[in-house]
Amino acid sequence: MNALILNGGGAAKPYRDIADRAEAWLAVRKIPAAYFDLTGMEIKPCRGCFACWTKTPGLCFQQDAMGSILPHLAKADVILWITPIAYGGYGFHLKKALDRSIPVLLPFFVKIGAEVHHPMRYGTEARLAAIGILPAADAESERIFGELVRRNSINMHARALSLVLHAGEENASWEGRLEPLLAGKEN
Amino acid sequence: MSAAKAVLLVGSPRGHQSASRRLGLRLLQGLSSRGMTVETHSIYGDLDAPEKEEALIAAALSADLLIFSFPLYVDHLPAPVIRTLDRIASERRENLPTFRPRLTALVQCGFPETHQNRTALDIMRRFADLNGFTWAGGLALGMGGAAGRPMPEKPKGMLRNVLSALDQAAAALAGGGTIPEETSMLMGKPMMPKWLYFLGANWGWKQQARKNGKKAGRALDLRARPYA
Repeated sequence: MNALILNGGGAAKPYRDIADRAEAWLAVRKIPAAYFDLTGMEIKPCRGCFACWTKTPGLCFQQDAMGSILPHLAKADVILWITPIAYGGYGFHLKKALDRSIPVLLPFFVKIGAEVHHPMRYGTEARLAAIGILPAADAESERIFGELVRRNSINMHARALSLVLHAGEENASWEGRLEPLLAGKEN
Repeated sequence: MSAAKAVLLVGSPRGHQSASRRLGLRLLQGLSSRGMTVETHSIYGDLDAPEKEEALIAAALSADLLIFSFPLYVDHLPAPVIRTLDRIASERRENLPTFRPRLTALVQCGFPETHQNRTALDIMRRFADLNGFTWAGGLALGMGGAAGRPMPEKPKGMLRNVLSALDQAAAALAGGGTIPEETSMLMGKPMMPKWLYFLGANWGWKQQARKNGKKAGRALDLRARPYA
């Protein structure tokens, strides 16, 4: 098993602490993890050109820091996203990397339930945990965040878990909620 | 009294050919013909030009009606659109706490199901609520790629529902109202049978790859796994 941690909140509290704890949690389970602090990485916006599907299949033509993340994304069985919640969605830094992740998808359409999506290029069915931070409780933003992660899990053919932590609560234990995801009991 | 001002921010990297731009401009045309002054900015076009970005933010802050039009990326807004929202939120917190403009969004995706855009519209509505805008409703469209071509003057053909809905939305917004639910429903109606779109899209990717392979002088394996 391989893990990938994408930190869209940087070195500031509580983001780095959460990433450290996630790494420690994975290390105890002997799951090697690649870690990226996205806030310091220059990742250009996706150009929407689909070259990664029809010109250089599986490869983005843009040469930048995303090139170091994609090989890990292709092989990841466990993916952790850490991000401030912005209006219910992900913050800019996490999203700039997600926009550039489409090389790990195939262009073709497949049906999943009643919807159309793309197959995964590497056939992986990852476990995805998205940890979002809010300054204070905000029921509507939390609902949207949960729904967004659920929608992403369909597109990524992944089992997923969304966790929302409020500022000041980050010292509470949240790692236990990741266990069922790893065991394949969460969806 | 001066005419109310509508500002369109296009959040697509595909420039003048983008479906998001064409849809947004069509909505603006309807607003302009009903007496609003209109202005358009490209979020991606202004990324590498700080002075243009400042002009975009200034225009957004001066709008009576702010319109975002963008493609769905990973069930969400494209990252540069999020950055623009962050800038607007920050400026409004500091400078314009009492002015309450209206905000609407137009989202389109390449999947055939319009409802896949719902989360992105929820995010835009939440942004409006948290930053002192009045949410004027939103429009969403599946099979959005089909709108990336020149549009007929009057509603007809495959785009008839889309163009009628944009005209209805323009009438409602220019009158100071919000986009009616039935207009959103009309906009989201499938432009063709789902099975046909499905077949056409899969065929289209293969055709595109064949063309690109010819140019490159070799057959392309669309299922290549360069990181395996």
